[in-house]
Amino acid sequence: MKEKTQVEDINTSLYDFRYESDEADMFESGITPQIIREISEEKGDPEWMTEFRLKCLDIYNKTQMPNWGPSIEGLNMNDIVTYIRPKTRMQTDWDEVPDDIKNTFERLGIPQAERESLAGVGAQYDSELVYHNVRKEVAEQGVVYTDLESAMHDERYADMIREHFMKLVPPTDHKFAALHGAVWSGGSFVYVPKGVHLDIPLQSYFRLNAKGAGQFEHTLIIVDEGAYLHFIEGCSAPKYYVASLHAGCVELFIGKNATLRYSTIENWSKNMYNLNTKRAIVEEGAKVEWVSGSFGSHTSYLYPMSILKGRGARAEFTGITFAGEGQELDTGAKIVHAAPDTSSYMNTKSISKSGGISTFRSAVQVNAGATGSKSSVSCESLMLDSESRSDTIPAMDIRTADADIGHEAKIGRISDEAVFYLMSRGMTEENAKALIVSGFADNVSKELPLEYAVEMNNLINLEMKGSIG
Amino acid sequence: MSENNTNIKLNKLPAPTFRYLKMNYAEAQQASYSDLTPKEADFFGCSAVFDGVVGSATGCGKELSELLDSCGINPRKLVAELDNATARCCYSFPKGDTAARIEIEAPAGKGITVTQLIDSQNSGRAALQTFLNAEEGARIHLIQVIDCGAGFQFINDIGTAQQDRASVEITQIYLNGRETIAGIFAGLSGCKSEFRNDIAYLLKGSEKLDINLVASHKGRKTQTEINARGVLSEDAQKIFRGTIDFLNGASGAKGAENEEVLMMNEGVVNKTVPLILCAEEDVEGSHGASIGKPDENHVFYLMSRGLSREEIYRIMARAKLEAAMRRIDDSKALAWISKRIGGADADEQEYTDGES
Repeated sequence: MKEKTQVEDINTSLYDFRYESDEADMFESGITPQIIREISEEKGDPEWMTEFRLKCLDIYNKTQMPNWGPSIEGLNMNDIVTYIRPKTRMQTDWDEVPDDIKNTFERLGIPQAERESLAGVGAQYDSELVYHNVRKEVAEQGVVYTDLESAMHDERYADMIREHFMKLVPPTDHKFAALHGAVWSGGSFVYVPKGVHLDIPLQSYFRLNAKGAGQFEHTLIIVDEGAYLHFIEGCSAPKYYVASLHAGCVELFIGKNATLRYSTIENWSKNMYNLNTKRAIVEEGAKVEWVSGSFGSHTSYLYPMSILKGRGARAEFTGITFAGEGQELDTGAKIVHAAPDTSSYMNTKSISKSGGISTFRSAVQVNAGATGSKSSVSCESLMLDSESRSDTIPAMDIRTADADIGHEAKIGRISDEAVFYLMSRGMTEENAKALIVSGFADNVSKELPLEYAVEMNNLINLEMKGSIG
Repeated sequence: MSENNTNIKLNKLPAPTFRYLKMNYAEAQQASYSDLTPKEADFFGCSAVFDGVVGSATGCGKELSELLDSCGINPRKLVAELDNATARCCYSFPKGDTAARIEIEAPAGKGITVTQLIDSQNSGRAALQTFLNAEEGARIHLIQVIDCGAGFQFINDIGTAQQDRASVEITQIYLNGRETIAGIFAGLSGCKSEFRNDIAYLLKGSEKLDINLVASHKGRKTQTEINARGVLSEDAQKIFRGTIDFLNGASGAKGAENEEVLMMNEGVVNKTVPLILCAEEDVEGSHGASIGKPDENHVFYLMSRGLSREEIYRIMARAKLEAAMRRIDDSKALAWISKRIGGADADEQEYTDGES
């Protein structure tokens, strides 16, 4: 029987395989107006989009780097390839997908998941979607699930895209939002019509295979009045010894009394700089639920934002972050209460080990006039050794008296008393500690569909045999 | 506040957060301070000398220390000679720009309680820098009551250096002042050293209070307890940055931080950033915050007993001060507070205890 002497770092062997990229498909590295024009031409952008990309480049050049978070000095934008020409056009038949790409997603279990538990699947390989499909019965309800480029060129959706694209996350938001606007490629467009309740989730999976490349997918979801959607996002990449960049963008528009659950299991390789931006605007009586597991990447800046625009809008954020050796994961959430009677709940856990740095960072803003707002934030951190680091940086800006704001945070090690109690019930010390750490992550895993909870547990890889640091 | 070359950045958050929140630091205009001595000073069991030293780490940060150095503000020094020494210093800041610095030293095994009663003219600017140096097993309790003028800006900067088993307690009550910038840095480098800070405030009108508190745990089995309670009314604004920093090696350290804010009406602004920074596995850190309007159930109960809403709010506001006031055993200081917040027996206490 295998014995362990400490908690494993995240086991990435499942994700750490690669296929050689054809260099002829890779655009020149760096970001110049010429490269932006070439990307735009390659993708057949409408004129407004080409102009938008160039405007974003200008903003990018004028905007300073963030100076408040983890170091991103190891990221040299001149070395990043921002676009890789796809080997195939987007397919709706899995058999038409090229073998190496197909093998990649099959090893990740995507087609199996589609067959068993999903209403639709999108798969992006490097810069472009290579496969997109949605079940017939779902499409018949009027649900649109396609790649963003196709939607932009489809006269049925073109105006909708132009009306919503980067309106929630403007390129002026921060430097990497501007970069995204300039070089974005791929991503999904989802529209769920009024009153439609999708019982089973849609999933997009993003795979960055090429070395020294960036992935800049844009996800735009509109859930109309009274509708329900669960959207799952997964991401991974093989490990290289040069920096890669993920600067995606997610914009969620949630209509009156609608609900959107957005789940992410992020397992980028440990050479990845994950500078992703996610934002939702929530109308009257509507709800957004974020479920987020951050396990991979070298450095992460990830804070999904919920703007509670309509009376009675709600937001929930449930997250777990596991930072192992060489990782600095700066994660959390932002909530803006912009209307009366809005409520938010944030519940996060983080684990640090083997020199990993985990930072919980949040912002709760209650605007003047957002009377009757309620917010509760809870964050807990577990340190598994003293080489590691765990920080909590929550901020609250409250501008109305008629609000009820609560916040609590705890940081510490595995409780000796809890270990003693479990040992008095016949468990070994090693098993007791493993059980406690596993239970610590339980709040997130129980929010996921079963098969993804299993994947998360696989990622955490807290083996029941072995002692813990 | 826009960035200006004549401004200095104070109260910097040890780990900055999102820039758009504008919480990472406070700004104050550069001033050319002149030295001020206390209006009154009563000492028991301690001696005053003129060669004080202000340690390198204080809550407001090194830019303030450099400014005071450049203005030639030299620290005075108070040294405890008994284990129950007391000192009371009354600072009355005039118009214009004035500053004072003081080092309070408790040698090994000694203890001292120092009360600073601070008021000012209606306008002007002042800075007070207090450094608490507690040697092995020593105990220092610093009590500050601040009642500045409605147009006055006050910078209140404190640092501590604590050796093994040294205990420092700071009790601060903020009653008035247009703008107050308060920094506290607790240097818990000694094993089993302890730090406690109770802060209470009543802000009204357009008053602003900016607090930066850092408890730096370097020694093993060190402990911190922070309680900040206050009331905001009319257009008052407050920011509280509270940091518990567990450095590597501070095994067995514990830190707890608790904040309660009563927001009495629309128009007030409360900002809170309670940080826990942790580079040590064997520690326990926690913080909790409760922010909002008075509990309507409590209000309803008290109204059913015949009190008006205004009376109830006044009682609730006073209750926020009471927890900090209970930490004060200087009767003159208590009378000073009561007089200013309208306590029933304030005048009588002031005269009775005036000489104590």
